Amino acid sequence: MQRAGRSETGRWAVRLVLGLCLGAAPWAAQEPGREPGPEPAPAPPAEESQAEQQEKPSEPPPAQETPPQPEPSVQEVPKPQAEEPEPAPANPAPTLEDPPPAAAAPVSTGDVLVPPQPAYAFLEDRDSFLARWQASGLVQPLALGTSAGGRELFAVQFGAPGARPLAERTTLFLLGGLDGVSMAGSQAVLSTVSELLADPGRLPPEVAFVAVPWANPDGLARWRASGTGDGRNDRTIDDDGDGEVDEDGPDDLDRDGMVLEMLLEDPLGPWVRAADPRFLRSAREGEAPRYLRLREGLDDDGDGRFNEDGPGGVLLDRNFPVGWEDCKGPESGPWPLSEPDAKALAELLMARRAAVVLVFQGNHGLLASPGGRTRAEHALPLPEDGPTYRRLAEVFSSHAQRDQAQAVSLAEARGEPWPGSLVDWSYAALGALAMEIGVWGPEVEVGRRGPVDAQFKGPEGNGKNGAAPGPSVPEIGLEQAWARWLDDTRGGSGFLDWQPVQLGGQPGAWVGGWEPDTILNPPLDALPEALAGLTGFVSDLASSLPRLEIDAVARREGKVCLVKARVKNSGLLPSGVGPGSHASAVRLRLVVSPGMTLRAGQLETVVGHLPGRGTSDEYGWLLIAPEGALLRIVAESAWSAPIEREVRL
Amino acid sequence: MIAPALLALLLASVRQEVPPSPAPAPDGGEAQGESERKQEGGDAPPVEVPPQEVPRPAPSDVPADLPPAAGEAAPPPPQAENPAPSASTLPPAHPPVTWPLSSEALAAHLRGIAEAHPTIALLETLDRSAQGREILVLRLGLRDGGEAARPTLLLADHHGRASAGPEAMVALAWRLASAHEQDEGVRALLARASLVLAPALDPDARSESVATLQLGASSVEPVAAAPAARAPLARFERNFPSGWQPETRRAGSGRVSLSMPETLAATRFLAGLDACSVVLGFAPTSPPGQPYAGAELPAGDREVFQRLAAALERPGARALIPWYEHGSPGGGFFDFAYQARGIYPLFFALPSEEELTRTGAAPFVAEVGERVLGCLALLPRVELAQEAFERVAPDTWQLDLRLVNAGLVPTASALVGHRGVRADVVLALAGAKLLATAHRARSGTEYTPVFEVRTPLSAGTLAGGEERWLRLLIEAGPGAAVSVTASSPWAGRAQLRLTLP
Repeated sequence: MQRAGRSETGRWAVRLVLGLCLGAAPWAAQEPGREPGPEPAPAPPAEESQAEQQEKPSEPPPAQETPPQPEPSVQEVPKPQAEEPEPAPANPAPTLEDPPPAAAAPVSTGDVLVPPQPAYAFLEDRDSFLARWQASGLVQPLALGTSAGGRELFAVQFGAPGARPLAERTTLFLLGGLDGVSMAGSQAVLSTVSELLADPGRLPPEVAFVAVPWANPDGLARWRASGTGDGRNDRTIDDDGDGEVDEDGPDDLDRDGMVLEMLLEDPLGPWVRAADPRFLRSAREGEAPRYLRLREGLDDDGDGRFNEDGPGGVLLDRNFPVGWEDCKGPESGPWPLSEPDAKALAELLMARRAAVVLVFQGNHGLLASPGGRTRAEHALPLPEDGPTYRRLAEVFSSHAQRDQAQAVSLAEARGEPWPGSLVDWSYAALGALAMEIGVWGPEVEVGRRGPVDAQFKGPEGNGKNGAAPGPSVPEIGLEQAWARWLDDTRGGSGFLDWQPVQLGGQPGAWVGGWEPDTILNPPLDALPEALAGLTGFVSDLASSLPRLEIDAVARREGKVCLVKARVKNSGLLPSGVGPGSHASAVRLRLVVSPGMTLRAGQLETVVGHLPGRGTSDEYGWLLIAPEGALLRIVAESAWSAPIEREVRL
Repeated sequence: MIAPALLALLLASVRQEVPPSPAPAPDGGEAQGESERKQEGGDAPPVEVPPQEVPRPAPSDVPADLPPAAGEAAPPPPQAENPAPSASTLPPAHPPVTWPLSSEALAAHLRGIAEAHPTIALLETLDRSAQGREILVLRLGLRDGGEAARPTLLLADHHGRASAGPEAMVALAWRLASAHEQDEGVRALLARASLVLAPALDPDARSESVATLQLGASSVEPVAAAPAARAPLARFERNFPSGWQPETRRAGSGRVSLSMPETLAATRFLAGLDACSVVLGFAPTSPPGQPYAGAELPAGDREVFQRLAAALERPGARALIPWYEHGSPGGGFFDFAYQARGIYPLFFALPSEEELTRTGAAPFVAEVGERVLGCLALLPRVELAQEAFERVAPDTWQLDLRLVNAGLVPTASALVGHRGVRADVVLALAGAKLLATAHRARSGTEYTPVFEVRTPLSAGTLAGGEERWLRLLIEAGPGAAVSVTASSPWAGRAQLRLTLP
């Protein structure tokens, strides 16, 4: 398969394709009994929306969509509360070059930020990022507290200038490196924020962005220090229940400066060498020699187990309530949200109108929908949200130039169950459109010599697309995909062949494996490629968020007024997702003035989810009201701030 | 087996503590309700009432052993194995315990016990409820610094007035604490095990339901400022993480688990109760249910549940309900206790409110007390005995040991193992160097050598009543003081000391 290069023309073409994809989004499908909408109003000023307009001739709205004309005796007073003239920003247009950036931080080169030299940024770099971002006049820091290790949970919020405070707007969350390993995830958040602020015209009105680049500061700091790690935070725990803490962690046995993996020959081990001797596969009956696959290290405490109680405590992305009970071992925490940073993130999401939650982490290179648990009764996402996630996967694929033919769940993308995740919780409990974006993956580095087949269809076969996920085989297939990338694009550099080591009386021990910054994070020179397209995806997602509108008419017959209102979602995305549609539904509320009495209809009506693209529902009321009385109709949802229409009766 | 004197004491106490039984007033509960409304209306902390004053029953209170209604047969007195102790052995009187006690009255009782018996009772405040009430826990056991590691039984309740569990706990606590000073059996029992009482983990629900006569009232999740963050009501028994489902799927569960101060406090408390292997709760009588979908129940643990319930059966009393028949839909305190901590929960079948009103709480209180004492004796308890000891070479000795779990409950549940937390019985040797070990099966006489000697020695998990024989070959000089200590989180600690010739 060949792809277009990453020229500007190519980028423009991708955006055009995206616009077309969104225009045909299945989330705009008409529900029975529901009015379909006209073509959506052009999304605010994103360039792809302009492209979309150019490509599509304007169509007249369907007849049934046209609201009835008001009677002459009734005056309609539209009051687009959310669209009041917006004050100019306090500061002039963002100038991200000023103040000068830190050495390792990206600098602006027009509308795209690129690092002077590819480099990873860390929590210590937050002040320089914040200073440059704040120069835009659009960014506010958020105080979220600290991690278990006392590190700041750095966060900012920003959005287009507008009357509505950021905290009350529909919110898109950008979280990086929650797994404590994906430095590239943090980098994705940093570059996305920088690029959005470099072109504030891409910020849709009424939308807030909240960015937490280093969502697991302890885990990322550990990774930074060692080049390895498993993402745990700094809580000290007794992993093996022997009363000692951190007494048997990994060791650099061969003193090469890296702690990699270790193979131990063991007659009961589950692995044998694969045809490619660098890698392993599941042992079949009668096969030998067999191996245990462990982190590199000694049995420091002499209990017969290796590295079973090393530094580090809880995995934050196992510490959220949905699926937490499926997690085994102490690394998921003693209870959900036991960790201060996980709790702070959950409280932040609950306090906002969390519409979209993007978690940038993982090395699968895919957009993964909720679904970290594999039991059928826990399956996520719900079938009715499947089309939305499928389309998102396509749009993401177009933007980032990835080979993702269909939506995959977290467990499928990860190749193993991934319970207790923030993505699953924010979707299932908050009704947020939550997803994980695998910044790095075996298919990402396509600019060098065409795409690697990232569908994991290696000879071992793991059924990446369609086969039941689980611990059976997938990691082998994934590793093969990585091996192809390594061999095809890197000449095999990045994997340390297995070397024998002396391990006391233990026969048959080897160390080797993937070097740091190969499969879990991209090598620095591949970082720009891994980040390419992500800002465009985020921008389009933000521009596609639901936009509620109310059209209302009233007719008077003596003292009786008949009021009709049509509530419409003119955005491209649905007005809500996830279970519990009642909680996250669009609600329509009448605010009656003194002297009015309602004779038919309800003061509050649950509209449900409006699929988007102009889909609307109509409701009516009968009121006894004095002439000239003012009636207010309010629509809102868990995602959307209230909008109001006033009707003079 | 419960010490007969203990049982007699308990039964005697229940009979003794009951005040003269006034007929329930038609406006029952008004006096107490007024008192609670005052509490809720102001910001003042819960009133501390001296123990001798607090449980003073209002005329409308239903006494614990209200006589049967006219025409009904009095319930048969529980059978004691021995006659009641003589008057000289009876503990001093204490304030009467009446049903239903409000949260405030419960707190006053607990304070009274702790103040009157500081050598045996310790009152702990876990946190405050959403409405500001203290969440109290009373620990009973010999306070010598080693109580945290002793085998522990937890009694917990969170229901409203429909449950007589709190009253049973308070009555039992008074009697044990009082008897401790005079009865060697009680002293011995509380020196080898701890009893932890959490009579009102959701004190707001208790207080509200007693005050308003609405059963199962719930506490309220804190309300955040932003409109989007308006939290739904959460219920105590839906808000724990095991089997939890978000509010979008199950009403009353909250948007995150442990969103209530009461549930978070209970979780933290339980997570720190390392020595607790069994928790007894209270549940309305209902047909047997099933564990919620996705819950784990290893076969070995099901067998332990059955053995425990059978061992605690009493003639004429309702059988204890094992967790897996409780029928919880998930998200409950006891679900968390078993699924996340591996602790075995069993439930007393609560008498109906009508039954309590008619007969009083005394029969139930006595039943609970007897079974709790019985259960304390069933907790896992590691014991170590010297079987043989001989010199096999200069400075080399062979020590044969017998390791026993003297309880019925295993030293760790299967689910504890599933959670990856090691709960093995381990042996530590001091004063000598361990050279080699061997073990022997129950039926055999030959020892099998263990080739990999590591310290501390792990003896794995011992089922209830299981014995293990171990041979230690040790090196030590003449006159050395050698000790072997066996310990496990659930089964406590046992030590064997010897001085070499």
